[in-house]
Amino acid sequence: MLRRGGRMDQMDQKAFSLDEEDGVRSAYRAYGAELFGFAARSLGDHGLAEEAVQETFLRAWRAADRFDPSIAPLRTWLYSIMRNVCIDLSRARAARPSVADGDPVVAPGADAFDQALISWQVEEGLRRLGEDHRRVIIETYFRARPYAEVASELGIPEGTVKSRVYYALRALRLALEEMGWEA
Amino acid sequence: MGSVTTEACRRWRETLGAYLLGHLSPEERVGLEAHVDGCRDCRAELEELRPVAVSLADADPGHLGKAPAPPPDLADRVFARVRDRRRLERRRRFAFRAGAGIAAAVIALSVVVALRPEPPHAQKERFSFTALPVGTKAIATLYTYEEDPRVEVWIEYEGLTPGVIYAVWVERASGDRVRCGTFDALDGRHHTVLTSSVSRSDAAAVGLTSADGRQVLRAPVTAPERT
Repeated sequence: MLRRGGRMDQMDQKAFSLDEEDGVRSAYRAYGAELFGFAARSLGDHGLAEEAVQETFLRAWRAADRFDPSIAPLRTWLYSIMRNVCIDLSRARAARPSVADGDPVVAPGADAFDQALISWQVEEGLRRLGEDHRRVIIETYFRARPYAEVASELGIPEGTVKSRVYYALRALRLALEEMGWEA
Repeated sequence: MGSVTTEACRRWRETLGAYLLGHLSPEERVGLEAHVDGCRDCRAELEELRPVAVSLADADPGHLGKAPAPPPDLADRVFARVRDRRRLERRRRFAFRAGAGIAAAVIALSVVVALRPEPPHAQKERFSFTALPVGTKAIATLYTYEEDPRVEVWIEYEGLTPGVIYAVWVERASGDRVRCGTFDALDGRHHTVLTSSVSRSDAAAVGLTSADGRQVLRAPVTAPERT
């Protein structure tokens, strides 16, 4: 059993018994897809990302007795395992002899993965926003477009674009907190 | 977050996002700052949202589209890998208990470097790969258990390119290849074990494909060579 007390107020802090296959299944159902997304983003290779996900759950299962939900939620723990798996895999990939017409492969260091993880969290948070909210952030912030232009494109008053940016940031804060983000 | 106390608060708050992103005109900015200086709730709200606004700089706008979805069979491969490892560890414990003196070691990346105790009730068939590259040796062994119609694939190999990831698949009579997992060739000489979702009677061939798709090794398994 993995339950050792602590607050169980989140879905992923319910007592997962990762050493049983059902526990691995629940954990995969909850986080498999996003872990794959992160691996694919940071490794830039879907085949390698599949390998990373398999290896992450295998290591999680093997280390199940060290999982303590009172220290970190399951999601955070799985990400920390995946980080190490991705670093190992990218080193193994960089170590293989380069092929004549292939791109040179450089193993990203731990810092690069940590940065990729931070980026992934914010991107994942933005993906979880409603379309209206995400749209105004993309247009006004990432594309730096004037509010008047965005307003006329969306057929809404400029003041609404502005208030939407505010509600979008609030929604993003909630989404990030759900993922365990700490400001 | 604090409650909106007045209509003025609501109006100013709705500009907080644009303020934090640096999108307010100088007049609006001065007006908002004056309000926030005198309103504790709005100030608290501003400070709650500030790190969120700052975090946007970490996102890559090129990665905001739909995240790539895992292939539908990845879940099964994850569980199969755990199941394989558990089965192996049970065998290992069995071997130690039996005093067989068989040392089994399990190292990272699900590669097994060991003598393999004979599993109970297994039908064991060995097959050679056709057209192996010079310097490469590889043998596929299929195990079939009484309680489970799915074949377990063992690949013993030597001379594979170190560090390359290989996908292992089982080919059906129809020609469809069903992937049963991947392994990392590490130093090029190892064994790996994977469970496929294909039953023995459906399997026509097993094989490996390197991650870049350049290297394909295939062993027909329709006629057992020796058991």
